[in-house]
Amino acid sequence: MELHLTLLFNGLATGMLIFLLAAGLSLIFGLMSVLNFAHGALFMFGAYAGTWMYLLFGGAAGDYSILAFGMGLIGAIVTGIVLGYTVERTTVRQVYGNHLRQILITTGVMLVVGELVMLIWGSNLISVQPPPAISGFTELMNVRFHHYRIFIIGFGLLVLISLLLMLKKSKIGLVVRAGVENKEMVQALGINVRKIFTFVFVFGTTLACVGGFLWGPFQGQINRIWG
Amino acid sequence: MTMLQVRNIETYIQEFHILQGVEFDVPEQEVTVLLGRNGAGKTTTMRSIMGLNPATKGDILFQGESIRELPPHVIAKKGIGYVPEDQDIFSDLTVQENLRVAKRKENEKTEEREKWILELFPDLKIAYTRKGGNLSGGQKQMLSIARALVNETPLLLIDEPSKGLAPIMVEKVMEALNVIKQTTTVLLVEQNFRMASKIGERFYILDEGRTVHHGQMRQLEEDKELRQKYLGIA
Ligand SMILES: Nc1ncnc2c1ncn2[C@@H]1O[C@H](COP(=O)(O)OP(=O)(O)OP(=O)(O)O)[C@@H](O)[C@H]1O
Ligand SMILES: [Mg+2]
Repeated sequence: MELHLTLLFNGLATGMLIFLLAAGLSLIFGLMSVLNFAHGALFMFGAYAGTWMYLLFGGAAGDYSILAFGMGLIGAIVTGIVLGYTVERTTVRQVYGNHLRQILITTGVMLVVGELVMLIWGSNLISVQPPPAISGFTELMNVRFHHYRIFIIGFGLLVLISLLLMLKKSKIGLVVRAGVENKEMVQALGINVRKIFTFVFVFGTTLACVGGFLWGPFQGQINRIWG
Repeated sequence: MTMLQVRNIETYIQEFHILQGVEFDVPEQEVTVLLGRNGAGKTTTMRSIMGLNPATKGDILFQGESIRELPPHVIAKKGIGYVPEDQDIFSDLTVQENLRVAKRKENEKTEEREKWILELFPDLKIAYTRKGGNLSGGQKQMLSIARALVNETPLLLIDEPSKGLAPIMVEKVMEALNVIKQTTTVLLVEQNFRMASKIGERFYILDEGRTVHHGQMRQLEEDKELRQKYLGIA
């Protein structure tokens, strides 16, 4: 029983992180049918950039507070937006509708982003722990519930619910769903599908970067092999 | 004034030279009908106007301005509503959501228009919260027309609205088009000659990607030979 609970709990936390990674990937594939081989590298870049911000602010204050962690999160989000926008505008945009070229070009992006990580942060492991406010665990019925994992599950649920609400209720969500079904008709209604594409790509990349950042303290370290 | 001028356009789909000189005018406040056999190029002409299969030669003027090289969403925003041959309803979205996607502004004016449209198509009002995929063929056609009209639409392009519909539905759609044409210029593709002659003023016949004949709808009603020759109907 305890073992089951532990596995279930840990599985949920891991699942939420994978969800953050996969949600972006499948939105990008679903709407734009773009095979994005760079998604993992973008996830890794987000992990490094976010962790770097977290450690920078946390180290400066000497306490690795929840505030510093928040700065890391913001860092990952900003990185996702900038990176997603740049990659979509400069490369992915050129290859809509051509899977072979998508594979080639996004593989290229993957390599470049991987090298960039090397160049900026080096190839050593970086250890990272959750802020004290959300580390440690609570023991219930002989099962250890790590606070950071509870946080990840909560955060993932929050993203999941907002994503569902957005897709169900907001205008842009409706347009995205309509676009997945029939891109041409959406255009013929006066909507610039390109803009929607850029938005979705940026959004998906941002989710990946945030997932990458949250993964670090979950593992206790980040390294380059993830890409 | 002429709402739309299509001047000798040529359109390729991949390497196929589909339109090889299509030419016609759509005068304001009238219903102009495009006729022609299956495969004559009627749908391709509509798609060329919308920029979905851009014409590579000739010109297309909307309210005097060339739109031939504009992307589809810009053409739509100029005020051209498009009802495609297969309706292209978003099947995962409800009737309400289909209309919402189309609305370029959500203000009083578009609300007014939506109200007007729903009065025109009471069937849609009843099915308002139903998903597009669960509508009947007739309701889909109504929704497709409603979706094109929810914004200010000086020109409406409709591709074979009677196709595959039960006679009673054809009647309903026709009745609605008779109201719509009082405020909107219409370019209609219609194989159902009876329907076309009831609401159309002027016709153009396409054959093998070219305009081959035109005139007043009344003349065509009287000219059996011409109908036989280009349309294969008596
Ligand atoms: N995607 C495509 N690829 C190749 N040929 C096409 C394509 N779409 C249309 N065509 C060809 O272009 C020609 C004109 O087709 P179009 O759909 O415009 O005709 P239509 O007049 O609308 O016919 P219908 O009355 O059957 O709707 C046809 O010969 C058709 O086979
Ligand atoms: Mg057709």
